[in-house]
Amino acid sequence: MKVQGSAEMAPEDVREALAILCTCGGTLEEVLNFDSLAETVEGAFGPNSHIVTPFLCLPQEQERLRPLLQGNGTKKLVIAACSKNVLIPIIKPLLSGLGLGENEVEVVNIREQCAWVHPDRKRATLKAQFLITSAIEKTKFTEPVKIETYKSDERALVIGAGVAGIQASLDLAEQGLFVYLLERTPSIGGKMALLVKTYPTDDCAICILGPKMADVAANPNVQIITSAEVKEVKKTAGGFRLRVVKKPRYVDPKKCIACGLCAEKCPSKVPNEWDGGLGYRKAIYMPFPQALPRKYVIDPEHCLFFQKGVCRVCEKFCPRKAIDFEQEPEELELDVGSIVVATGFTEFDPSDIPRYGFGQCRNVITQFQLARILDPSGPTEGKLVTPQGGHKPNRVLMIQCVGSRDPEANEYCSRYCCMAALKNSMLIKNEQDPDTDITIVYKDVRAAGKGFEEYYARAKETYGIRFECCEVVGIDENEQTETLSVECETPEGGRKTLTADLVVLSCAMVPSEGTEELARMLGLQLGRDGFFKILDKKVSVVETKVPGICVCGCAEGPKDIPESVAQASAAASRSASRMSRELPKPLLISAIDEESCGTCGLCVKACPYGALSLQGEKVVLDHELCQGCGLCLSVCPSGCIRMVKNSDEQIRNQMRAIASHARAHDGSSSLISMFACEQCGYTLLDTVGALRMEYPPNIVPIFLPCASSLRTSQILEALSLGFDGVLVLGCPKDRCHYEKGVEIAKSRINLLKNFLSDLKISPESIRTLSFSGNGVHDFVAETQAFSKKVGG
Amino acid sequence: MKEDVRIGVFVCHCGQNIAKSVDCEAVADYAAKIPQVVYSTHYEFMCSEEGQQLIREKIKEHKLNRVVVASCSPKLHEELFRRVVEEAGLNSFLFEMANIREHCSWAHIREPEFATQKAKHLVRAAIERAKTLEEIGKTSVSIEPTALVIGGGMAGTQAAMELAERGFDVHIVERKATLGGTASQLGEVFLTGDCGICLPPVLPEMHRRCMYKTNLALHPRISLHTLSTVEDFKGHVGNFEATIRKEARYIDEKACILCGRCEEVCPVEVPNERDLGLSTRKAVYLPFPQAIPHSYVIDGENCSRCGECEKVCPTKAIDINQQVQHFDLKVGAVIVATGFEEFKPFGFFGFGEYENVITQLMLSRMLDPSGPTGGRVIRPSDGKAPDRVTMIQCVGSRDPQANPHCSKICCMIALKHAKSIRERCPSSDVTICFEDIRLAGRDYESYYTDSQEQGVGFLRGNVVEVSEDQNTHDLKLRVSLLSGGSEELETGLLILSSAMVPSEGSEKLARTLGLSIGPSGFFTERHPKLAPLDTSIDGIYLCGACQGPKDIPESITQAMGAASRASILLKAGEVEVDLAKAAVNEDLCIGCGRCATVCPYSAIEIDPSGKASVIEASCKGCGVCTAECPTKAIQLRHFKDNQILAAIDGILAEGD
Repeated sequence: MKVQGSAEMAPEDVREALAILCTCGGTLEEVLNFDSLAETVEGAFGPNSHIVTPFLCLPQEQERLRPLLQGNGTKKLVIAACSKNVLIPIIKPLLSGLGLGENEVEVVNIREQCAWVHPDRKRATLKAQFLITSAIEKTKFTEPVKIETYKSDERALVIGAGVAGIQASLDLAEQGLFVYLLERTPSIGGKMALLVKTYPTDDCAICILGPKMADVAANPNVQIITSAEVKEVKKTAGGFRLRVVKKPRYVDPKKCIACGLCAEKCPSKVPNEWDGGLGYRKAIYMPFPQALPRKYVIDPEHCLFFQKGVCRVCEKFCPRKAIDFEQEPEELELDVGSIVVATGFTEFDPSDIPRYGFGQCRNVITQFQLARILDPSGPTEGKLVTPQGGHKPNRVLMIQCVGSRDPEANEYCSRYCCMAALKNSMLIKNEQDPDTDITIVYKDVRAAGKGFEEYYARAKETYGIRFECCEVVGIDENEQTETLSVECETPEGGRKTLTADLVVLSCAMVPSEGTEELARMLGLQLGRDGFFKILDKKVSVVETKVPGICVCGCAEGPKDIPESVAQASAAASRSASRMSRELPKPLLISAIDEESCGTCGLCVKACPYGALSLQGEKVVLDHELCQGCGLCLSVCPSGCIRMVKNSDEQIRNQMRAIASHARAHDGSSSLISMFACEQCGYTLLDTVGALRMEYPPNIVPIFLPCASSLRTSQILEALSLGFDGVLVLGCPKDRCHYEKGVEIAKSRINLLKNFLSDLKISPESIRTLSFSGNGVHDFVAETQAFSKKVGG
Repeated sequence: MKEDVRIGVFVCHCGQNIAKSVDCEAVADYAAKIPQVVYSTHYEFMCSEEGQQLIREKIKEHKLNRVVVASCSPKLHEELFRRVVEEAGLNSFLFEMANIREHCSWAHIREPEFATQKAKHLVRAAIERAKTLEEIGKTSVSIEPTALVIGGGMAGTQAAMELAERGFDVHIVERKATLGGTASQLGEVFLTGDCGICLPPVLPEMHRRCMYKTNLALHPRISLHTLSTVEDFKGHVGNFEATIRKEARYIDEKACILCGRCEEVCPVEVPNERDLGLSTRKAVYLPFPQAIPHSYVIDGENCSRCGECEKVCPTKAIDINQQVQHFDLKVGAVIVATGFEEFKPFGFFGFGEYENVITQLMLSRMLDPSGPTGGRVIRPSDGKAPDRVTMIQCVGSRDPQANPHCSKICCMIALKHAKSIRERCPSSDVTICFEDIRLAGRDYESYYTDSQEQGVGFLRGNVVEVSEDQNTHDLKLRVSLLSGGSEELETGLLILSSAMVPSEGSEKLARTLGLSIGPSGFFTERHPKLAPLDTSIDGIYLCGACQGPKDIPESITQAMGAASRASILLKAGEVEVDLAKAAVNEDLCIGCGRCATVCPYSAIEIDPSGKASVIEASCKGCGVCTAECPTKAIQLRHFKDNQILAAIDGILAEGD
């Protein structure tokens, strides 16, 4: 019996299994025969099992339907209406009122996938029937999707205390979260603290960073741990447990008043790594004048007492008795809910490329060394002199892209060096000698940032800095005059020799030392460039594959200060967001059946998220990491992994339902099953519908979370059930929402095609399509061609 | 009883930044001799932890009740030193700063004697002013835990989602009929090839999901106001009040079921702005299939009011008599995310004159698989595929005649489009005329080398002349090469990589909000290095291309960052504001109301007793009112006439 939506229906008439058919204001009735659709429903669910409504999406209609549905405790619900992407968010409140999760309702899209794309009433109706019967059969195996909630520890760990790490810590701490700020060196501040000035405003770097350093040190929610490194990371229920080792400072920070007597008296001189190896520091030293904590530290590798057992001069002179040679490394155990990795970068060592003469010619230095020379508190007290003779250089030559954009070193562009060269050139002109002749040898001047082009223009026009577009092939030193001749090749292939008193190499940014080891401990991946990989280059700009770990600053690739600061705030936002609430997580993969599992480990290898692991004689699934793509079950030889939402039984039922409905109603035309992914696949069908484009109505979609979860046996089953062809629709190459879905599906199908001739099946009857959500024209053309081929 | 003024003076070397040209010791000695100065010293870095500690110690030791720091610009460190003074138990307004760096040592770097002399004058002025300073109190203001996001593009939606997920209510005000911004016009985005419409916002617990599936409009914490602009804005940190003007959609967006019947019957066809004139739409239309809110819109300007759509709409969603609405929103924080638009290069390289000269955004529309040409690149003159395509970089960018700034993303856009053309039509030649290829992003470089391998041509030079063959509509270019000489090129389609400029209305919005904009018209951040997301007004933040040209990942990063900044404020519950504002002496006030008229922040009211009264939380302390007042009844608490005069006396005082 048909029951119109407008008809009075007593709640007791409604059955547990029910279908709601929406006419979209009557517009769908123009194309689809709703009587036939109702018959299909009643045939499966029994009499009085459907409701026709004109507008399921309108609140007043939902109010009207609510008591009808609630009265009888509807358990199985099929909705034939528009796109579930449009509808589900709207009817969520109605569903939750019925105790149904969005995964427990089958939405059949008879609008975008039927009425809007198939103008032929008979064929569109038939396809709608296919979809409805398929959904009804699917509900026979529907089970509720359990939701687990996660609550993280409300403390965060920030690794690296450069400008990015400091900003991330401040953002977190100011939101009331507790932060451990870990720094490997004895002082916070990172590279920025040593840069003299910053482009394009020429702000004094330490003047603007200093207050931020002071802020983070003064914030009661931040605990700074210097000279410390992560040694071990374990996942816990609330996040992570880390073992951290803090190196001894050999100076009691509570007693040290930074008077400097110790360093004055220390007899051991060491090339100063804080000045890029220029100048000297003592074995007991302060990294730089504004270092924080402002406490001296002993470098045991150069301390005479540690090396030879004698000296202890510092101890004698320290007025506060702060020196403590007995200090031992300290081991700390930190429990945190999230981690922000901000380990920064280091300058590329140009001695790896002999043609630049670094390490051979003493008057060849790096941009970082130049910054230290120009720093009033640096090795030359801010006076620009050549390292070799200590003369004022009249001709300075800067060479760009050293170790960057160079396939032999690093392919990437380091992004900061053009601006750094411009800045240091203008600093020389401004603060040293305006008559210094400065030339910059470049490939492209990349001044792409706010105010950067204007800065470049100033360098060219106001300061008369010269730019030579060519590549350096070698540097020679004249031993008598100490001048350098730089041999260059022009883009046209010509040669040119440039001479200079000082050559400055703009070296690449490379990942900090220890990046690989840290990545291994944290379970993070590195990109081809060696920097930490983010989850998605375009949209997930701070998250990593491990939930709870974010990266920011140059640890994520070369960037400048404002970009690092913005990314640090973004990372803080994501961390705070995670720590300040309970996160729901649907359990899409049900437990692994231990009895049938042969612990072969294939699933463990296949999982793109590292969610599965072999623990003893058991495969264990980490639900927090699982994204529900279903790749694991498609590789499982014993079928012991089950998906809650798209189980094998459900897919089999869907295929059978469609095939048998086809036999019963229309044996003549060909039938194609299209396994489409829920991501780009579903979106694409929506877009095609919204644009009212046409494609063959004999193509019936069955949705999967990802094309990679489709097994070859399922394709064969479809063909044996009477489908004339099988299409697999997934995301574009490299843009699978779960890593490599379409590529995996394609390679499986290629493998299958080798055997098809034995089975007397044409390889042409299977085809993979990979399009993004807007690939409408190609989709229509391909499906038309395929349908023709298969049908004809 | 008159207070015993005890002043401490602290002169900073700023490393060598000041000490190089100013003799700091001499300045400190000079200060020590000035009456009522009981302590004077100089130190390498006053802003360092040690410097701060020094100030705190000396305040206690010498019972100082006024502090003068001579160092850098107060814009940099005034806040810091005020805090230091406060920590030592002094009211923070008993502090004065002399800027002997930006105003002195840097400006007179080669004249040390003069610089030292000037520094003394500046310090003396600060000391004399310090003598007249008075304690000023604070008041605390509660914070409305709601945010306003202006702009519903990529950055705005991401920021809104981020805040909503943190549990704050968010209003999004979007000028257009749908969310999505310019990114929704890009067929695919560079590097990853995603379709632009499907990008953010991504929820923290979500792996990459498409935008329209997230349906922001239905988020319980988000209120979306499309076709809306901020018309008026007042208030202060934590308590802003924005007046929103919402244009008529003429369709009840909640009742629209997207059936499209209205569009079928609509008789009016107009050029589709989304496709930059490459296609047409009806007067009632859906901006694009994934538009949010999921609703049609009537273009009131072009609608003929025939009423046909009203007749066929099954849900009676159409109301052609809908009027413009105004409503107020009370919010604690504001995020500006108004994005950018493409510079319209009329007059450049034949654009607007020759049919086959188009912009990159137009090419984007062509390359969109669901766009007006179905993803095919065609020549507008004849609809045919071009054999040769040439791109010109920096059109309207890096050009003092148009925009001096570099637009940052055009190189990558050109590479992406060149790659797409080569892939879809391998027989087409593509040449890019450029000066520098600027790739500002991770993994972009390999994209460049790949495109070189794919056979995209690169020509380093400036196009100096473009002419058209009137029969074939082919174009002839003369390129002046950077290495000298020139080259002639013939091309079937010329594409201009046109600059990124601030969205229309940015300037007006800046005025409404009280924000400043830079020379290129983009919003100015608080500090270009360390506060790129904050603005000069507490509680207002920036993100995305409204702050300067940037690509999608950078915009998203900034959006998340701005949300973090805003949530610090929203979470705080209340914020302290100082009372260094205008105050009225009621005995002198004649109630003329001139102060209220000139106040740019609507912070002065004339109360029923006929006297002016200052709304302290809204007053920004600019002092316009004090200059306007005919009876000197209104004064700034921290800039009273006697305080300003004292500073002048200080400058004029005899040196040593």
